Amino acid sequence: MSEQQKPADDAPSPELVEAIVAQVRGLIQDERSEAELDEVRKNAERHLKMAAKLRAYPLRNADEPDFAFRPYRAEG
Amino acid sequence: MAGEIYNQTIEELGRRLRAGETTPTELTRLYLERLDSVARRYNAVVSITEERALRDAERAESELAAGYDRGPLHGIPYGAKDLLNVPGYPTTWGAVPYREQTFDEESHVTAKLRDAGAVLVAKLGMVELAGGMGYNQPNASLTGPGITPWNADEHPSWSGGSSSGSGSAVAAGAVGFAIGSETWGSITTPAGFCGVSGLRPTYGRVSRRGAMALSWTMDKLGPMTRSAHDCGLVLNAIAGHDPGDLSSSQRPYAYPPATERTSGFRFGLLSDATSNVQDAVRDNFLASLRVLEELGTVETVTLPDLPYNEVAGIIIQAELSSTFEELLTSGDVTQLTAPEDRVNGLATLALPAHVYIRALRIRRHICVAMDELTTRFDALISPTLPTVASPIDQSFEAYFSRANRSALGAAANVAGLPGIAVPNGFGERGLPTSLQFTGRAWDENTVLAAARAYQERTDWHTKWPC
Repeated sequence: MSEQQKPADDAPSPELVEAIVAQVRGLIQDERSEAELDEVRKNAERHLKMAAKLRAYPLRNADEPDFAFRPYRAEG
Repeated sequence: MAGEIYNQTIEELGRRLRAGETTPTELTRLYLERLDSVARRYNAVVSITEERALRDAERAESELAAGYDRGPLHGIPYGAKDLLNVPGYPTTWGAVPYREQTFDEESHVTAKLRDAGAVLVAKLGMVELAGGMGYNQPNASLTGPGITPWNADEHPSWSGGSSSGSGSAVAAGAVGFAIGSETWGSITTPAGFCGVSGLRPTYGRVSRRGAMALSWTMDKLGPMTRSAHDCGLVLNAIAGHDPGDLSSSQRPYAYPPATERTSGFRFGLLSDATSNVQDAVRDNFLASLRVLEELGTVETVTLPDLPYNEVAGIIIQAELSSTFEELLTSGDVTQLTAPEDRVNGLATLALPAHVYIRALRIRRHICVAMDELTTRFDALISPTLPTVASPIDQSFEAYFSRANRSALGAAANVAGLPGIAVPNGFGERGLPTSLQFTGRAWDENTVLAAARAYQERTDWHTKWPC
């Protein structure tokens, strides 16, 4: 069974966007103007749309991420 | 302009050096002078490494005089994008917050080039942080907007980025060759807008030790030169395994290959190659196609339907949220030159892990699909870019919005595939257009052979702006 999920609507939920903006504000040490926070909102919306497009692509449980962990052992 | 010594290829410069028509020191002094008097006009220079250059040139000269020849790059002056560590000089990453930054350890690539006898003459301008923060206009570097040397007085236009200075310095004849980097388009774009040959090697072919990281799983280093053959000569010097870079491959590489292909190529023509491109880009591509049809077969193909742009975008942004976390959270990001770069990266701090990991899971599907496609051909062919360079004072949104950004660039970078951009004519405002060959992973020599065969039948790569 694939993990394809229902694509989100074009416009991401405003509550989710505001939650991302709040998260960003909590992580940065400087104050940003309303105009700058509007840009953060636009970028958050863009990320949510990209994520929705990725969710629309079908994956199976066995589809692994394309990175490989290698145990480390120093030579010698 | 053609035929001046500073516009010659590595092969031609090497022949002159070995014939005694010039010396490494004379050549180095010539390029040092042109960097200062010509390349600075295009905001292509961060640091001129004169002291080191003259020292290395003297060494190269005495070795040649003694009969010790390190190979085709021996005595050839070059420039490196200013994200490669070079002790004794700042490594600014093109960004104001890092303008005083220095490193004690030499980058792997500049060390390899030194071993090959090449002479570092400059650290070259670049878009701040290799463009990771989402710049939307050319003025996004501590050295000012990168300008293509073509028609620069009448129609100043963008050099492309993020390897801006690497592209414009090669076109301006201010270095013998340059090193650029590509995460998503940063070698091929300035190669296209500056009318030079630029090679994006397979991911893992060239060690990135001592280079700025933007996106660990996407970053590549590669040559920008005055011919496809020169790209191969430089790649031969910088390729090879390095245990200091986890991505570095053990696959051997040698150029030139034992047998050089010159015909019988199988080309895959992307079905949307000429959709929504400028008229001159289309005309020049169709003219190139006629040349390529003499070199082999051309079959129209379509890229498999996969979310290439979204996967590339999410991977790069998720990784840069970690590589530049401190810059983003400390507020130092507000020192960047482009106003949009001070803000655009912030939202990456809130990108969820599950989105990044989903992108990496889809990446495997992209790699398999692209391998199945590229294994049928020697190269996929397309215009490198849908337009010529944008005017220096225009936003990308305004200039490029009607153009078709082919998914091939995202697909090739997500899959880590090699590609080469070569000049194929001129378009609006007298600016260069470009042709791109994209190949199967680890098949750099195949795309190089195809591009070389194209350049043997055309002369666009012999035309220079100054």
